[in-house]
Amino acid sequence: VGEPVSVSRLPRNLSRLSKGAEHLLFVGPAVFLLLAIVIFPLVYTFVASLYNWDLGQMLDFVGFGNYLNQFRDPNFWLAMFVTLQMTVLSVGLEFVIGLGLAILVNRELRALQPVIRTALLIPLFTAPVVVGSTFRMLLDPQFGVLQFVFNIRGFAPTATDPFALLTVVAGDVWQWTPFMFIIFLAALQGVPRDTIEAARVDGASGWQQTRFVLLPQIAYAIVVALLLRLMDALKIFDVIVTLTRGGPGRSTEDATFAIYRLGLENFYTGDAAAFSWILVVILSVLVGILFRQIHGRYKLV
Amino acid sequence: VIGAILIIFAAVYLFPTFWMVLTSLKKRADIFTWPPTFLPSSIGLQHYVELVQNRDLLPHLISSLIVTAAGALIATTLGTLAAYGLVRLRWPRELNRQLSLWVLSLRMMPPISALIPMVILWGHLHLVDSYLGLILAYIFFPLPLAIWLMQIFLSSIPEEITEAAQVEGASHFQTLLRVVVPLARPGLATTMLLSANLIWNEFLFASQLSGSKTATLPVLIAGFLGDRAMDWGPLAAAGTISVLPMVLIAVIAQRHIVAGLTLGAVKD
Repeated sequence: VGEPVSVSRLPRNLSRLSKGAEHLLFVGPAVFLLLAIVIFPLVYTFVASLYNWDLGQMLDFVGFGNYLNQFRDPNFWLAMFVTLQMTVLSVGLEFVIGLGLAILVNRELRALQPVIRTALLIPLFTAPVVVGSTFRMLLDPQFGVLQFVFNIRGFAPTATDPFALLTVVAGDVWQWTPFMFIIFLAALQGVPRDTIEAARVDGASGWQQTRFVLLPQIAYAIVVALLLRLMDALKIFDVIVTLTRGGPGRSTEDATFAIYRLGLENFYTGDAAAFSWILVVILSVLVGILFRQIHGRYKLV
Repeated sequence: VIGAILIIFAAVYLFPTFWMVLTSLKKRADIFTWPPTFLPSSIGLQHYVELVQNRDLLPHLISSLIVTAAGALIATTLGTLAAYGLVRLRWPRELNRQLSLWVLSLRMMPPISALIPMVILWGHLHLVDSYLGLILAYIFFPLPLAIWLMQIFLSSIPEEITEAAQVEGASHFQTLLRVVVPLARPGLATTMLLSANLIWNEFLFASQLSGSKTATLPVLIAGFLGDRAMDWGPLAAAGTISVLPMVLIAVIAQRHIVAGLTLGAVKD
């Protein structure tokens, strides 16, 4: 009784196999490259993180010693704190300004939209090193035009403690607020006018219309925009290098910059690798939780 | 009133870029002066000339062009292939979904974590300061983006069209090449542009993996920033040269760019 079944099953399995092979032909190259360029280095970093590996010399196996060193190092915690500050401030400001601007432009000025959108496209296509060096030029203590506008000649915000971090945030906000704005404007334009109209007729105030009618309808766009920006803001580097070089002291060294210093300037490869892995684990957990939350409510892919 | 406020906002927003371009055209004496000059008495291209003569502008520019073109092309090609596989070859569905999520999650990976081992490995493989090594490393940035974007573009093409091609006996590869690619041209352009933007402006990888032969524009720009007094003129000129092509393309292809940026975040 079993014979005919297995015979009839055979060709189906075969065709499945060839389908699988075809699948591999399309998806394979990309996946292979991603494994080679993203995942393999990650594995390599993990191995490196278990060794005492200084100045290009792999010395001895130390297990999780490098990790313990990081946790004991106040600079590690400082870098984490700086990363947190920069991320929260940047993404927060980008969100508030981008959303506010999108609501305004969407409500009032259909005619001006192309002009404003074009103006806001420029920062998105500017290299972060150019953003950093331009802001540094604008804020030059001797000849900076902002020093002139605010009458603060001689003051160097990029080298003064609480201000340095804010200048980095300002650079990031300048560059990325347009991203939020463009997404939100497109989302708002997809909201049917009559739902707002209906709310207005029912006596909802402008704030109520926005909060309870408009925002829920663009919730998906808000979530995705925040997620995408969050993933990038946690890794700010170029603007820091060109604007403050991590200074003054270490007050603008975020995680990426600290790892760069540790591994690529001072050649403590093992320590830098351990720090990298801690960062990867934190980001994975964070983004994993967010993905799960979001994916439950909206389908991401 | 709101219109006026927005116009002022746009002007303030454009100011950093405007100031950079203006500085790149000012004479030295007009840059290092107080109060700053908003309307310089004369403008000229002397800083650009200096970049070409003393700062190897052209080699940096050519290097940036090579790496960007190659990287964007590879990412778009492989991304389109993968996206077609994920969207149209529905076996096995759950695997496809997991793969898509995995690709999306790669965008979170900190580049610095990949860079440290790359520096070591590329050193062993003699890939440091070679175009091959740089282009290979640059797959890191655009490929996840390209797969994600093309997946959304391709899933907007009606399945009946590709199925019709299949019924007529075309292989999946032929379907992709003859049917899907012509239909997805705007999507391909968008993906290509956004990929190119990522590579053109990248600094961290370039600073470590390129060298005297292959250094890109961002490396040149960051190189100006010593701890000493800065030479703003040539720096602003280099910044202008870096920004100009990308911004021009972005403004011309604005419709595509906006479509690409909002894709996936804004559902139709």
